[in-house]
Amino acid sequence: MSKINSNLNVILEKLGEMKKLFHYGEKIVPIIESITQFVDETMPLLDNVNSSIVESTHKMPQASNQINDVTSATELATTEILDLIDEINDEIDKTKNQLSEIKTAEIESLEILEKLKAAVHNNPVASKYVDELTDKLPVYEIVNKIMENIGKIEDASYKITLSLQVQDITTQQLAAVNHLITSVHEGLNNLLKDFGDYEMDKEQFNNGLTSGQHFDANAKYGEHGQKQSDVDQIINEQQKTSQDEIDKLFS
Amino acid sequence: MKKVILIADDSPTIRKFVSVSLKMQGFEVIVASDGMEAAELLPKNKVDLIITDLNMPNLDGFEFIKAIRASQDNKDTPIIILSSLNSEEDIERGLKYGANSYLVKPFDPKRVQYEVSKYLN
Repeated sequence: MSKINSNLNVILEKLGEMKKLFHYGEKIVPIIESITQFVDETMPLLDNVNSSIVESTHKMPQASNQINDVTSATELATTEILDLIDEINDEIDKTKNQLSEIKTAEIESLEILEKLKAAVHNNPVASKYVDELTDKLPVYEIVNKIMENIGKIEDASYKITLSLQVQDITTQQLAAVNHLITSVHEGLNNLLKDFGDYEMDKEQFNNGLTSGQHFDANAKYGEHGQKQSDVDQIINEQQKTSQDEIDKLFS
Repeated sequence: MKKVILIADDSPTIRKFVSVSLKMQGFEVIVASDGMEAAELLPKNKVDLIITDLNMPNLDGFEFIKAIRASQDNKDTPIIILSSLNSEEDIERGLKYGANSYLVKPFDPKRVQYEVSKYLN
């Protein structure tokens, strides 16, 4: 009898637990319904996000290739400008040599005229002509002025050369951006692969950084000479340290 | 006879800048687009000085310098590094591997000419 009572108690206990569960279920059902509604509403949004990521991922190789095109175009233009500067420098050299020849010829002419003047000093008319010719000769000063102007042109072409280095620096900066695009593209591709929606076509990156382009992401175009001064300082400090160590060894 | 300078840099514009600048000084210039190409050019040419970048494909500047210093023919050839890398670590590494000078980009062509003349005049 006591066993039956005990079993009845267990049944009653379990029924109590079931009652609690149903009671809890009554409370949780509306929450589950809300979650289901939320998921239903969110699905189209997630689909939109997904297709947007796919679309953006498709566009990334295009952006990367456009950056490469910009780099190639600026590289070509810079090389063309440098070729022209090279030609200008050649012409300047030729002109300087020609002007030097003019100066030498004038000095020689003046020496001849001096000798001629000495030879015809008894002939006033001839002497007068020699003097007039001597007065007309001094192109020396004009040549010097032309040389001065050429120096200014040389200086300007030198400064152009200096400034054109911005191309190399921007190339490195663009390569860093390209590298970033490639990394993001690969990351998104891995994400999308999990959804089974997209597979990256590496061929789309026809000049991409996946081919092993080298760059310095921190390359900067700034004050000429400042970076070199910093480097010189580091080298001096290192050499000083080395010398101090040598001195210590022999002291 | 003109002294020969080898320039190793993957940037065509930098190769051109340095070439123009050194040709104006009366040097003969040969160029390579990476360390590997430069290393292949060395045995075929009598080179008096080398200017090299550090960030290069195939064989970078550090490895190129190491290879030069390990070779019999060019172990004493002056080497000038010309790079946009300017950290203390890179400078120390470059000089430790055997470079004689370290120049940073953007560079002043007059400074390049000065460094070159230090070793060749």
